[in-house]
Amino acid sequence: MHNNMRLAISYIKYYRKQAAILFLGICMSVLLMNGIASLVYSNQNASYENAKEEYGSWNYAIPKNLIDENKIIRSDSEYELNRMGVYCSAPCEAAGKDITFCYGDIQYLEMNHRILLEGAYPKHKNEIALDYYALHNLGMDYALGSTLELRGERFTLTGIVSEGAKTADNSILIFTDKETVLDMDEASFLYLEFSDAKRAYEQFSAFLQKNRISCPNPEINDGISVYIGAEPKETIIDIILTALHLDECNAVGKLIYLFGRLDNNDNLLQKMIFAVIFLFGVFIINSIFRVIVQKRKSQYGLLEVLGIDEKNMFAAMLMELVILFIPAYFIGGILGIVVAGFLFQGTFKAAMDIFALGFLLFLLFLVFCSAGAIRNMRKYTQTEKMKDSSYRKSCKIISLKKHRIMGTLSRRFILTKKTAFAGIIISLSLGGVLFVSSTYVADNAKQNNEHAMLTDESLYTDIY
Amino acid sequence: MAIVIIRNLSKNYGKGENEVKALKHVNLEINQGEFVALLGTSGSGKSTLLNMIGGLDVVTEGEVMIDGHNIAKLSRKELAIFRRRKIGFVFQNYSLMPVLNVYDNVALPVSFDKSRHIDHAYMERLLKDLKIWDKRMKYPSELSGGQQQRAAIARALANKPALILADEPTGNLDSKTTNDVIGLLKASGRQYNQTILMVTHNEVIAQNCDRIIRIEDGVLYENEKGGGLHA
Ligand SMILES: Nc1ncnc2c1ncn2[C@@H]1O[C@H](COP(=O)(O)OP(=O)(O)OP(=O)(O)O)[C@@H](O)[C@H]1O
Ligand SMILES: [Mg+2]
Repeated sequence: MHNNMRLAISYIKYYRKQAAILFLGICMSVLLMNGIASLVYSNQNASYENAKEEYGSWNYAIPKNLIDENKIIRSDSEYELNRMGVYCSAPCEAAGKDITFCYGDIQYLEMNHRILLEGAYPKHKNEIALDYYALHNLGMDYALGSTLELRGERFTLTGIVSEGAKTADNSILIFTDKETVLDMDEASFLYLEFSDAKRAYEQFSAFLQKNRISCPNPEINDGISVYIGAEPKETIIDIILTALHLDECNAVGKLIYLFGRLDNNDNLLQKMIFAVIFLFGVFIINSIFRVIVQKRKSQYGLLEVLGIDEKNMFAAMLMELVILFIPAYFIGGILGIVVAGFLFQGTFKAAMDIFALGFLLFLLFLVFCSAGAIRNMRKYTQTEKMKDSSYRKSCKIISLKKHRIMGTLSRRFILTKKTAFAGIIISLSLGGVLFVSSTYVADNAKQNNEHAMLTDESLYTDIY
Repeated sequence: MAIVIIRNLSKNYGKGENEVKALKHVNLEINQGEFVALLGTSGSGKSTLLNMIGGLDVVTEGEVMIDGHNIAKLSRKELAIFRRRKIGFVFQNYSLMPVLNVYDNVALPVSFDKSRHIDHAYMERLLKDLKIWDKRMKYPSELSGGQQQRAAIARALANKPALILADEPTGNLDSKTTNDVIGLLKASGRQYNQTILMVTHNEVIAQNCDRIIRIEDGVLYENEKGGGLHA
């Protein structure tokens, strides 16, 4: 090992330019990969945050009568409950309006962003808290202490709350104290919010099992279910089968459905972006490496003649790559994340799992790269290898063989057109950045539009 | 005892019109401890013969036995070990590793042999005898042709191989240094019972060897020392 390491270091020290090009190549690819991954992550994270803002952060709601809430086991190896809130509601028709008396405990209110804007939550009978929508629709004064007559009773406004997350029913919510609601014909629910560390569906199932609850039809927070994985995971085969059986769709429709489902289930689009960028990096590193090895063919031939076996040559080659790779990966990766952090507006989330996964994958690729190069050497006899540098004829023969065209192409390219090669790398990187930024800008725009349309709608319902 | 046995060895390069018959049905036996000179004009097949003996290229016909092993039958790994332990090469074009300094170049074959360690005292004597001790930290590109050639000779001797294949090891040296180097090779050969096959263009050096083999157009001619080509 010691000898291989020395040889590897000698190579790096002697061929500084080659080492620098390889280093830069790795840095660039890694920068691109980690930068884009972090942008995609942050974008997804931002969408998730928006969705939570809009729809609330709870995952599931189950009828409260299924279990005594004080006996609930809140965490286990397979799940962790972040928050659990109680919500009771009693709909009633009064003054020709669709009204619901309701009570939510503090956790429920937090999960649904019912923040107290003024005053206090109702504590006693006949105290109420309302949001502006309700105040407006009930024709009340926007002032604490103003009163409301309903069903022959008199209610006093003690608090004004924010509008909060969207709910399924559009009735006017009147928050009041718990006893009042419980006295009515109410329905109570437990709102559950699981940890973000794992998919929600699996956590929820484990939660139900652990607490011996059977709840075939829980309410799911549809607005965020895609981000938290609230639906059971479908296998790729299931999705493909369903797509094939979509009789009402043509081939394109089936494809779109397939893609959408896969994307929802497995973040396919994301994975594909990462794969493409990874392959791009692999291509660049491989191209540079091939050129380097080709240039050194005679030296590897000489080593073999001197009795250094393939195993040692492989080790030396791999070490050389790894010595360059490790700092290049960290510098490129961190730089990529930092640059992405600057580019991204909003809460930034670094894709640390891609950082780690990319490290392992690239390392694996380097092993294959070295092994491939050593195998490639077997095609030549020692005399062929050692004569190589002075033999221009053999180059032509190589380029005629189809399976080596890639190598020849990249060699020709990098050696003869350094600036062109640099240009290609830069433009490809730029292209990658543009591609991703445009997709996420488009994605954001789409979401903003939806947002705008929804608020428009709610405005209309407000007024009319 | 014969350490090298060559039977009916032919080597052709290229195909069809371009075919070159570099060696034609060569038969040769070299005994252990012999210092053999190989003489011949340029392009006569000297380097080709050395390459075939060292197993650097595949033979077209015939077989090469070294120390009882048919080298064509050895696996890649066996051949690597065999070369590292048994054969020292000096190439016509020196063939030093450009990335290593002289000392590391010379120590290279030994340093990769797990069962041996570098005999630094021997290395020092070798480099001093070859007058490149003060150049030991220099890289090949910083050396003159003659110095590189001597470094290549040192490398071939460093692992004390049983067989030394030297392709014009003194081609770039002045007559004084040439004599020193030949003296060193002879001394080493005697001390470690090494067999040496050396290509040379120098008749005088050849006359000082145990045996002279001449090659012309891929055909070997052997004659008593001092004899002509077609004796
Ligand atoms: N790789 C090769 N491909 C094709 N022909 C070759 C190759 N190597 C050698 N030859 C041919 O084989 C013949 C013998 O070459 P070789 O190198 O053995 O000559 P040599 O005796 O060593 O000459 P010199 O004294 O110039 O080194 C020559 O005609 C040469 O052109
Ligand atoms: Mg020659």
